[in-house]
Amino acid sequence: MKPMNPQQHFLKLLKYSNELKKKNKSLKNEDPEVFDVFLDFLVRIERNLHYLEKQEYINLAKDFLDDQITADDFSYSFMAIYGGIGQKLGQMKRAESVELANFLEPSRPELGDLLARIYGSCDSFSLDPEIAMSDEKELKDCAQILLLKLQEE
Amino acid sequence: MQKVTIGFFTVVVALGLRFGSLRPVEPIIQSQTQIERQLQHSRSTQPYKAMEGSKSPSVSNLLKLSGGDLGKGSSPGARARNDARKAITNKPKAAKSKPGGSSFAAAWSSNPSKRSRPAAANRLAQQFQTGPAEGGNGLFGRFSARPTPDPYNPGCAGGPRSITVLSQSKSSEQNSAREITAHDGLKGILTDKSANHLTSKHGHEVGIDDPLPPNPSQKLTAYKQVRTRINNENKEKFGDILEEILEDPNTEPFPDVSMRGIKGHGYYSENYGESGFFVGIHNEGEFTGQIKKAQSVTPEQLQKLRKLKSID
Repeated sequence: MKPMNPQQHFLKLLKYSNELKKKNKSLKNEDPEVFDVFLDFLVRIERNLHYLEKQEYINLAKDFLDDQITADDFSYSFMAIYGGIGQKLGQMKRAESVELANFLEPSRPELGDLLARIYGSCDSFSLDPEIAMSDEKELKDCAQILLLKLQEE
Repeated sequence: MQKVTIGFFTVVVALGLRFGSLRPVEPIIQSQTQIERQLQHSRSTQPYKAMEGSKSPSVSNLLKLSGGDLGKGSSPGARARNDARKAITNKPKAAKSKPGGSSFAAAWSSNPSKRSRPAAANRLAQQFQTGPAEGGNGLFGRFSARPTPDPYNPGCAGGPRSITVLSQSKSSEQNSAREITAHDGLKGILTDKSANHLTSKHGHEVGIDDPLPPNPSQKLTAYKQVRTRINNENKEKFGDILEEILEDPNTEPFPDVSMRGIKGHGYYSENYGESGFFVGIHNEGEFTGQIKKAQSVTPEQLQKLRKLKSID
């Protein structure tokens, strides 16, 4: 029997995960090891979906660095792109879109890590200094690094 | 007869001493009444001059003498008058330090650092020491404070649309904080400010569909900002969902998780968000015991949470 390629493996796990959901079960609880494999596939897909939208991120970073938008707007807008891509991925998962299998490569671990960190900084930003855990300078640094990273990719 | 004479002599000596001791008081009462009249007259006709007239040391001394009595056990009106007098007696020094300045304006300024009162009172005084023209409360707190703009609700043209709490008033926030006990017994506090922050940023992720209209300066992009409206109803809903997540025994605890470098206790639920929802309580630092994270997670964030026990 021919071994499955990663695309086939992923689509099989996607189907299995959705079947469990329909039964109000979770792959994470039913089979944690298989879930970790499935999660790794999803992470790769997510990173490539982010990369697909790199122009959105670049425009946002440029606008912020050129003082066209405020730090508050940058934080909400970044979270909107990041979260929006997460939602898109979720919808494609539910629809068992075979197209997802096209985004398994490359892995892009650095981009994934950087975007997650910037998301954290944006999430911690607030106009209220009593609760803010990141400031405008930190967000400017994030925007600068993001721009460099995406332009070199 | 001798006894009667001695008794009479004793009575005469005693009365003489008594009247003798009272004699110096009479002129003081007279001068006090006279000065009070002068002061009242000048205050009613020329208020600014009344303050300058208060340079008189006798008035100053007199007010010092009467201050304690008027302050205690007298009517509120008398106490207010006494407060006004105290302000008048303090004023000349301030006026001297600013020659040519308005003595009335100078009367509003004070130097709280020179007064002996608790630190909290000093802070309050600093808030109130500006005069009404400067938007402060004034010395006596009789003028309305300048409202603190609500950053989440800036209103038209950036003006304050609503007033939440004064920046130095933390008691109201503490009162409205919500304590949630997780299924593993750990307690997390959702302060009012954190509820504002988290509801605004993540309310839509848990199904609160009440977005603010887009900011006119916001650029049109494929992914639109979502700022959930901050009001009691939405905050209550958000708090209820956090409570539901934390109390659910199926929610997975992460007892030692790093949240942007700060140690905390995390909880992950699959019931909200496309790839689940994370709630984090700080275990160290400024916000110990507080719920500071409540967000949906993507596969990337979930993997980092599971493998590295970390979330950004």
